[in-house]
Amino acid sequence: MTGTFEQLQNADGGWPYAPSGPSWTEPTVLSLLAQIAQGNTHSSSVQRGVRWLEKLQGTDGGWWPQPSVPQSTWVSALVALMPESLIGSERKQATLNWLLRQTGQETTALYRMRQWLIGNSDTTKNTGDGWPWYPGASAWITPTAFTVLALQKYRAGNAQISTVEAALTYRIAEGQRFLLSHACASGGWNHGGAHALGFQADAYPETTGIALLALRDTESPIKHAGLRAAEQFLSSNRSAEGDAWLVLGLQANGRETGSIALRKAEPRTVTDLALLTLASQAQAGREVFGVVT
Amino acid sequence: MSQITRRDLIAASAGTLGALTLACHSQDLAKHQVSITKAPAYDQSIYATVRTILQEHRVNMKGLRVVVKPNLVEFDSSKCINSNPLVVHAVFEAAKALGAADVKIAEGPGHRRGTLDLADAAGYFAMIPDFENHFVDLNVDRVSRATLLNPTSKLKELYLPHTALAADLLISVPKMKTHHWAGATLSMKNLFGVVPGAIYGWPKNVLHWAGIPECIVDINRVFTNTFAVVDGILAMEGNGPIQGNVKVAAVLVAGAHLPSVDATCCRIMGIDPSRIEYLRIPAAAEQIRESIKSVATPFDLLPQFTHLRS
Repeated sequence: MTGTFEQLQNADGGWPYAPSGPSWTEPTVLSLLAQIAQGNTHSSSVQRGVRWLEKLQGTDGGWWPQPSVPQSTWVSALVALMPESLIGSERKQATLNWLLRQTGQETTALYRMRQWLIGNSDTTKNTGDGWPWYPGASAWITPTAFTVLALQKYRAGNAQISTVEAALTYRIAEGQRFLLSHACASGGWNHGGAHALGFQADAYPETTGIALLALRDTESPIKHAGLRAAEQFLSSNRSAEGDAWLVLGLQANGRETGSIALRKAEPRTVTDLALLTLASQAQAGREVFGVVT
Repeated sequence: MSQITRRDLIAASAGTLGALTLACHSQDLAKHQVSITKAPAYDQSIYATVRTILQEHRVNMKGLRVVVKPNLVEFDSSKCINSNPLVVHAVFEAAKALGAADVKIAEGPGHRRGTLDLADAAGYFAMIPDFENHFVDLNVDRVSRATLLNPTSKLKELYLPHTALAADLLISVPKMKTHHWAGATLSMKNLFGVVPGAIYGWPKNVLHWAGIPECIVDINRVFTNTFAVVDGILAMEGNGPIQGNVKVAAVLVAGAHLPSVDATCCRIMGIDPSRIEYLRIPAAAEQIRESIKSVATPFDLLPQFTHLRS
């Protein structure tokens, strides 16, 4: 795939996952964050992208993945990573409130009681309160890590708001506990199913990088096993998406990654391009996702 | 040729099976042709074999928009996790040769987000010329809301990709595998891949909460003109669909009625299809070409699934 963010931008102002596809929230937010990290906050491309995005906030405060899907989902956490100066404080506050209302269905009291009643003790263990991809489903690594990042960023920029600080701090800690409790035995993270029916599952490069990014302010042997796994992945991985997230996760935890890490694989999608740009900006010490590496 | 057995009839009449039976083509007591074709290896002969299979089943492709739906799951090419690219390419070429107006290969993996990277690692770019221009990532395709008619799951509607909804013929090309939640994953379960991850996530966990067998039934009912070619040349047994072991079954199983195709696969695998929740129907398949007995090779099952053994 070739082209700049401006060239890949759709006429409606959003960005597609694949060139010439429909605009979606995720590639739009990542393309905007990438351009902002490059210092292009005030470009016409960014302004058009923000205008496209603004139409996708639901009345519940969450954000839709696409104009034709009027349902708030996991992409709300990505939008919450946008600078408040671009999406506005009211919109951001509504997003935050929506995120704080979401939880993995498996952590609800009703579900746990039902599992306890049928003798399923495994699912009654409290392993942290994460976030689902879609309301009403279980929590998983990627939406939990995105939301932890979004809440951390909000807390850092709004330290004076004591009314929500306790809730933010609690949910960030719960989200990080979820991430740590869902690591793979061999180190690193996959989508969130670290084991099933007694079998241990393997970690993925991309989710390992994403989880490490959200765990950057924690200390834990599990995180260090994840860092070792990430460094091993980085030498063998051959996807732009995986390389970018690994660099972002490692850089956020103070590990040098070297410029060659981002030259191994060509971007195949707009999100690949955005993530590679963000990772390269992180290597240059610029703020990405509210994190300065 | 198999007949409706007493066990089939008992299974079909069991009250507890009512909902799924209703949903799963309960009216289809007529026999559906399912072919079993011996295929010892992934070699060039597969192209002719697949074309012959489609011709024998008289699959009408002329002027149709055909979508070939493989099963792409994981990067590990050392295991038999993904539908083999040679089988997928053979179906793709056969569809073109038999007069399809347009043929696309389309998939929306359930765990890994880099669909093109996954397809590359699985050998699709190397095997299928100009692959990227024939491929649609169903996880990020344009979508429309589809109402589920008389759903058996808790879902009333799903957003589904235009490429799949607009297909005149959807050809499911799964890998023959055991599955640690559903028992077996075959041509029907393969259609989970049409559900867009960009909305529902990776995994598409909404389907799990709404009931896996029920959602398999509901999604299959959305697509009425289907065909299946199951890649059972090198299959997976044990802890499928990802961590199982390679099982040499050396067959391609095909037919237009997906429940019958899957029931036939189960019988080959040594699984009683009436014990697979989404297949609890009187699957009265008329076997053509090889008999089940001549190719049956019991798959290893996890201890939790030994009750599925036929």
